[in-house]
Amino acid sequence: MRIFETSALVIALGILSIVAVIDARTTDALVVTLRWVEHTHRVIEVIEDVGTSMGAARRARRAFLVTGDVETLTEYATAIAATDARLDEVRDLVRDRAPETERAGHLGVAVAARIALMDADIAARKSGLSLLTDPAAMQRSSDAAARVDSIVGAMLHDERQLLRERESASEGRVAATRNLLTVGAALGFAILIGAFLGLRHENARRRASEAELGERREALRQANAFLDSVIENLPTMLFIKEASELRFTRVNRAAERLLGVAREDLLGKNDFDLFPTEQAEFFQAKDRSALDGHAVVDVPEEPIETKDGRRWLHTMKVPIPGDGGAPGFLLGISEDITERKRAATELRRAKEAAEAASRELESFSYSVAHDLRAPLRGIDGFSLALLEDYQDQLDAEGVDYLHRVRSAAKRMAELIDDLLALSRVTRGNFARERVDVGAVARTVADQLRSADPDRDVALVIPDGLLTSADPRLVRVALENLIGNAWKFSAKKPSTLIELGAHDDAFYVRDHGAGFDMTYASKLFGVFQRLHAVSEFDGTGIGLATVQRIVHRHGGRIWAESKVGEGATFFFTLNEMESKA
Amino acid sequence: MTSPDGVILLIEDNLDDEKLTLRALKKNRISNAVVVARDGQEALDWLFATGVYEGRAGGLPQIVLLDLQLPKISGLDVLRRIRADATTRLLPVVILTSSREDGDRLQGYSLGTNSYVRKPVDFVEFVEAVRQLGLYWLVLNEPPPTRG
Repeated sequence: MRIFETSALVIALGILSIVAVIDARTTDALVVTLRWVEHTHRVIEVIEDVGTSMGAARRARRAFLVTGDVETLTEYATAIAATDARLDEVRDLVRDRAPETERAGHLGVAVAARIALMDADIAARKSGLSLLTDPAAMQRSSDAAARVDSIVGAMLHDERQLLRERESASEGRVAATRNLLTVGAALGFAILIGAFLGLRHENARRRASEAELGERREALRQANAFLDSVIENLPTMLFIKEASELRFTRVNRAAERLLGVAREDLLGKNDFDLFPTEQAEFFQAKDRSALDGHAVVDVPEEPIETKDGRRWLHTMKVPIPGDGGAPGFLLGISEDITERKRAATELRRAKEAAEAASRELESFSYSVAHDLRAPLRGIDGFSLALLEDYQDQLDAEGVDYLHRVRSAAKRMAELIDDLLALSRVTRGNFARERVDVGAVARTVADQLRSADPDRDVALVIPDGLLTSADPRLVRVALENLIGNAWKFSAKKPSTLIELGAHDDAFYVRDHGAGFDMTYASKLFGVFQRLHAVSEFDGTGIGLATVQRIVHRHGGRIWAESKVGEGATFFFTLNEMESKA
Repeated sequence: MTSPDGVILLIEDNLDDEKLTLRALKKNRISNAVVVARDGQEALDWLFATGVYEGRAGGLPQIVLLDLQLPKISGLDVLRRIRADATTRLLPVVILTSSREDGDRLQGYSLGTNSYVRKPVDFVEFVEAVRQLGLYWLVLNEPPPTRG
């Protein structure tokens, strides 16, 4: 733009200069021409004057010749002097032109001859002679006068001719000059108008770009205001330090709140101005590590002294490139993890308490197993001793009571054993591995069969019932489920117990006593029984144990039954059961 | 079913259990001498002839019946000491306890018990257990050779 403008200005100035030079030269030429016109006018005037003054001399001579008045001689002398002066002038004026000079010489000769004749006439008159009457003399005078007139006439003719030529030339020059001046003025106008239009366009453009700049500035301001607002409203502490002295250049509201220090008291300060030396050294070491390493530094946990006491922060330190690539600033984002840390501490304490409680429970279970069983053994043992050693001193009722004491002790021992089994299910380790449910079931069934070899029970256990589960717990679950099936079908002379898989559930089905579905919801509660102990023995803990095992696997258990037709217990061992 | 020279060392703090055990032995007509130690320390003193049994003569028992929960020194520690000492290292020890805890069984066998028997609550079963133990350890089983 600038180059274009400069070139336009140079070109315009050049054009105007050329026009001015041409104008000046044309005007100079015109002036010269006009001077020559004037000169010619003067020449004509002077030649005419020569004629006039010669005429005056002739009239004065004639007057003297006629009157003899001496005064006329004075007039004559004056006229002659004027003639001489004019002749000199003519010679002077035409000196530059040879033919005119020559002709002026002739005129001078002719005038001199004429004057000589007139002088002679005057001299004769003075001596008393009258020449007016002398025809020869008159003829000589007349010839001389004619000769002068002829030369004057010729000269005037030539000069007038010259004048016409010069006037014509000067008119041409005047026209050319006028044209040139017109063209120059027109060019000047054109350039002026061009410049005006250019300026107006430029102004409009400038105004437009200023408006655009204004809009951009406004947009930039809004964007900045938005970013400011984002930074200010961030719920986590944010700060920026310059890289050289690590002084705070920016902090947000969360930082003010957290530190309990107003930003006026933070900006321009460094860590040593604000925090204990040890902390400041730590902070700055991490700052330097981020800046020197050109990488984000994560400080998972750092203590910081604030106006409200010690807080704990999780801080990320981010180097921000300045001009030229080297980090110019350090951005810090700090999350207040004091509460989380406190919660973690509390959680740890709670966990320790829970573990202590669990250990206590374990030792309690141990006591239950060991210490509660020992007295039972005493009750049973000494009851039996009474029966054996003192039966003759007891009546039938006494013997019956002792039997009841013994069976109560036995039942309590079973309850203790089952409760311990139930607690072991929850307490023990849990590890899934590949389990062949069918193989486990066969082992359980073999045990039942050998304990009760007289029963006629057919067991249907298919191959390939594989799952991922804790084998010990699967064993306990199947002991209970198959044991129940065994127990509740005991009143049938021959029966069938089936194990199988349906969808993603396994099931154990018997064709025994079954139960009323009205009470299905009570099946899995501890000590819940749907049959009298006298009818089927048991503690009411077995299914609760199975349910805990299933739940520990993330599965579920349910049952279907009809009184007198048997029961089916379904269970899954995984939300995503896979049976190969 | 007698082995008059074989002494049974019963380590048991519960007097009821002691009485029941002795009754069970008697009912099975096992007439071996029974020495009862009522805590772990007493048992070790008797075995190693130290403390109150300083200067005791008569050698080692044929079988040790060891309860686990004992005052002063626990049954497992008694077993550890028995296995640590060269003179008692090969002594047959049967843990006879109320506990069926996995931990106890694992530790018992790890420390070198020869058997682990849970005392049944039902005295008839208990008598049967004692009968089998007596038959096995006092009659069938050949004890390790006695050192010079």
